[in-house]
Amino acid sequence: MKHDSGKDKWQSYEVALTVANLLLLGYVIHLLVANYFSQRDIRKAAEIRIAKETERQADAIGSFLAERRHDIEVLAYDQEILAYFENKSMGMSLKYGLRATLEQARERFGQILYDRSLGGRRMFSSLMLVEDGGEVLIENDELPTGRQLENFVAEREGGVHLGWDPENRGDFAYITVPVIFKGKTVGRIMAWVDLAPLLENTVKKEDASHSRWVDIFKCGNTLPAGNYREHSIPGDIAGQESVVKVNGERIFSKAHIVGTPFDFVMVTPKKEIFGNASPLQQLIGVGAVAAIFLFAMIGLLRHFEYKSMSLAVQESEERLSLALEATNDGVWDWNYQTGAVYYSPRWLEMLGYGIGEVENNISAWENLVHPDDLPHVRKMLEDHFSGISETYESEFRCRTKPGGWKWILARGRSISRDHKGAPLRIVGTHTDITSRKEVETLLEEANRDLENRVKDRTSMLLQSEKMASIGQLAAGIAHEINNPAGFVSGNLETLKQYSEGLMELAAVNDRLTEELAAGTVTQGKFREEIEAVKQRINFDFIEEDISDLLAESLDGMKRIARIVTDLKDFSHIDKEDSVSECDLNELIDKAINVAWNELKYKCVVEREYGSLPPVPLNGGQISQVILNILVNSAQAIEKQGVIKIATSTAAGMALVEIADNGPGIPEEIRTKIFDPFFTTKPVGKGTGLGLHICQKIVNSHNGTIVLDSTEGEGARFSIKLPLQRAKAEGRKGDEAE
Amino acid sequence: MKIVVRNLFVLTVFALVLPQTVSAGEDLPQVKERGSLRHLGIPYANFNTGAGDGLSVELVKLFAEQLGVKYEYVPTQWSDIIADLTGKKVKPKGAEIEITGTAEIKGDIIANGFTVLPWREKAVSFSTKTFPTQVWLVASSDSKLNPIVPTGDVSKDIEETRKLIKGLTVLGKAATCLDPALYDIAKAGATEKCFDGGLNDLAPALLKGEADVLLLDVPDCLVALRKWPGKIKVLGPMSEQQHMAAAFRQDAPELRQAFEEFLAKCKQDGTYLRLIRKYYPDVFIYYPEFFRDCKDADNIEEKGLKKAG
Repeated sequence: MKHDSGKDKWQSYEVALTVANLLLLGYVIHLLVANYFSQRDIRKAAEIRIAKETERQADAIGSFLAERRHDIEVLAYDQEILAYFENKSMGMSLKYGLRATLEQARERFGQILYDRSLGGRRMFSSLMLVEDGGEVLIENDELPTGRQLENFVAEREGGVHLGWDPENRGDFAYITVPVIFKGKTVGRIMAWVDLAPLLENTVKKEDASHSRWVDIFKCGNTLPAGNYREHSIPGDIAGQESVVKVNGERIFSKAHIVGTPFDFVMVTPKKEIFGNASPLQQLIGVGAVAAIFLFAMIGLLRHFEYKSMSLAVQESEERLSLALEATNDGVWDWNYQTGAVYYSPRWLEMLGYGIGEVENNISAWENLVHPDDLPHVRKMLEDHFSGISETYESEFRCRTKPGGWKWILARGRSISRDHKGAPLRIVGTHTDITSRKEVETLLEEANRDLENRVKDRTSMLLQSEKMASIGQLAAGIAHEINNPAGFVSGNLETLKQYSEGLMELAAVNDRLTEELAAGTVTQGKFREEIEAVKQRINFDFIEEDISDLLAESLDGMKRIARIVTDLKDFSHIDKEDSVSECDLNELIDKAINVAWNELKYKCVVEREYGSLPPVPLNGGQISQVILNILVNSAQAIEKQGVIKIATSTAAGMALVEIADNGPGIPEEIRTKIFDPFFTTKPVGKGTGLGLHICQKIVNSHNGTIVLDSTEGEGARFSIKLPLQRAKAEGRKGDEAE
Repeated sequence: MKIVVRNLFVLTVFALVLPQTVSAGEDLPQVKERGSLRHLGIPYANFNTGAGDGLSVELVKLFAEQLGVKYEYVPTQWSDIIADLTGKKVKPKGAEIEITGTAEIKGDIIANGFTVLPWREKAVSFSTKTFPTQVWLVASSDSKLNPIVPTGDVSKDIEETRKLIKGLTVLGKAATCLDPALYDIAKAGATEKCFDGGLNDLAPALLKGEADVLLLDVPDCLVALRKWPGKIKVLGPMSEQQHMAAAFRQDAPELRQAFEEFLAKCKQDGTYLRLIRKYYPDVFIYYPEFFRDCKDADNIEEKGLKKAG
């Protein structure tokens, strides 16, 4: 009662623990999922922020470029610049005054060039005043070698131009502004804006800790400006005006710089915005931590549970130990995956081994199992592993350390399986059943002996019953033999007389032949005396009768021989397993012959034989069945009747029907006629075993014998015998019972 | 002949009297003893802006500092500037001078865009040339006169320019390098007109139509071109290249020598070129050779300020 109470308590505790674990697990999953979606939202927000930041930067750069354009436009209208053209229009020469004016203009260029700076670097890398016609009036910096400046200027006639001239200054944006004097374009100011300090300043202002980089691209073109040529933007964002795209480890964001033909691109390392891990990775990571925590909690709880249960387990183990000790069984514990097996001391002791003398693996055990038993043992195991049998159980012999064999009863069960159902661990016991097996062997031998004796007795009984039948028929059989023997004997007597006459005729013929050769007698005399002898011995009759006598005698002898043969076959001591392909119709005929003397005076036998294939059966036994039924029928017919015998096949069975038109069998005894020792005959007239043996014989052939009778109208026995040999052979087992 | 004799007499008299007057000792020791260097100045272009600075003002201030004396600015007039320095009133007579009287010595140095002229050399002792110059003929932009086309020969260019002034009124400033008398204006068929105001007011006077054309030296012209861009036009040269220099009394050789040393030092340490660039940045394009021996402490040329033309 104490144990049951503790078990209930444990069950309640386990339920509570499981519910708590599930709640904790659910809460953790909820947190993980919530965190995952939060991370996704944060990422989306970060992308939006980057997009806005990019647009803001693009606007700032656009404003910057607009201011620079304004600088150049103001410069183009500067009084000192225009003064040069005015002085020139007035005819002033460079030598006398105009050069000073030009110098003043150059100073203005210098002011713009040096006054405009960002982050300590000049905004304009170069300024140039080109007179209409291509002459360079002011050049603050040398153009790199490359494209002809005249072409460049010529292609940018008209208003203000902002763009890139990669062949002259690919790293900078250019601004060209016409100088208009008195309504006419007299020259053009060209400025190259160094975007690198702007971009560097943009990044620095944003966050110096970011390793992001920014760049400016010509719209629809991947040609970069600035000092970031080594980078390239993905082709799929090149054609979009404003986009944020996460590509690999970088976040590309692009915005059009309003009022310019440029796009601003900002590339930010993804990990600096999103961190090193994606939401999914974070989910996995946090999930892993949560799982570890959860499992740790569960482990802790299990630990307490384990400690609490250990006492119960210890008690249980003690009980199990005591139980095993009481049953004297050995224990084995098999790790199916590794093949390792634990053999208990008792297991080892059972076979005479000490601890450590048998390797702890399954091969060691298989080596101990008797080779003849091993296949069966393995099959039993396989049946259990495959689920055919719920438990494993087999009996086999195991070799003991001294070299003998012990019978072992092994029982076991797979206590854990993998997800595919394959066993992981099987635990079981070994029970020494050698004593039981010895008793069983003795018992089997006794049974076998008994069965043999029963068989012998049965055989003797059958033979006895057969002999009894023969005894009953002996007089009739003798009569059947005597009849032909009598007329054969008479015929032989007549033939003896005929032979004496013929011998006389032969002697006269020999004498007359010699005399004829000697000439002492004439041919006529010869014929006369021969004819006289023929007349005397009635030669013509002899000549006619002798063949009939011989034929009749031969027939008689054949009848005798057939009866004797049939009787011999009938009385033959049958071997139980002497089954052979027999002509059933012929067997019936032989039975009729043996019983003919019993039949011929009381009934007419009508035969309606069908065409039967050879039937596998014991001919002697089946003849005995037919004979018994025929004799019974004949005996049942009081005066004169008919016995009809018909054979046929149906449903793989040979059918023999023997029907008589006698008085029939009363209903009250119909169910008893096959019982042993049941008889309606007077005492001493029958053994009461005839029909019982008939039924036994037919059954041993896997056949059936059925009585169908109507009182006053006769009886019919229907015998069915299988046509297939296999089934016939099956009777051996039956007979062994 | 009588005139010549009379002049010689006058000069002789002055030669006998003047040394006593000047010998009162206005050389370097007296300057140091006095503790101040008196700078005779007139607002003129960017040499003396009148606001306490200018190329000449800064230079003399540095010189005073070098001498260890106080700088003292003494305003004067172009007509009195030599008298205020030398104590003698002089009147140019071609390349000669006529001493017309005495005056109180008010200053120790003239440094004011003071052009070295032959007649002036008779009255003062000039230092090493400090600034290049030339006199150009200038007209207002609405003038119908067309500037000459440079021939490569300054003399021819001067001739071509002089042809332009025939029948015109030429405005100048007496007793300066812009004195029309120095350029034989009458011979060119033009009418001389001396401006009463300061040199800095010449260009505005031209723009006001007080004369058809104006004589301007290059420094002043460069300033005017900046100040009134597109309002005036340079027609051509009226003189060969001239130079400006600081002027000292002829009997103050120690002071002049001290200035020479100071000027050399300024040229070597880059101070001088820095001042030139500050006040006359355009002068380099016209007279690059003049400043060749001056050290460019700021390395402007190497900083990419290339000049076209």
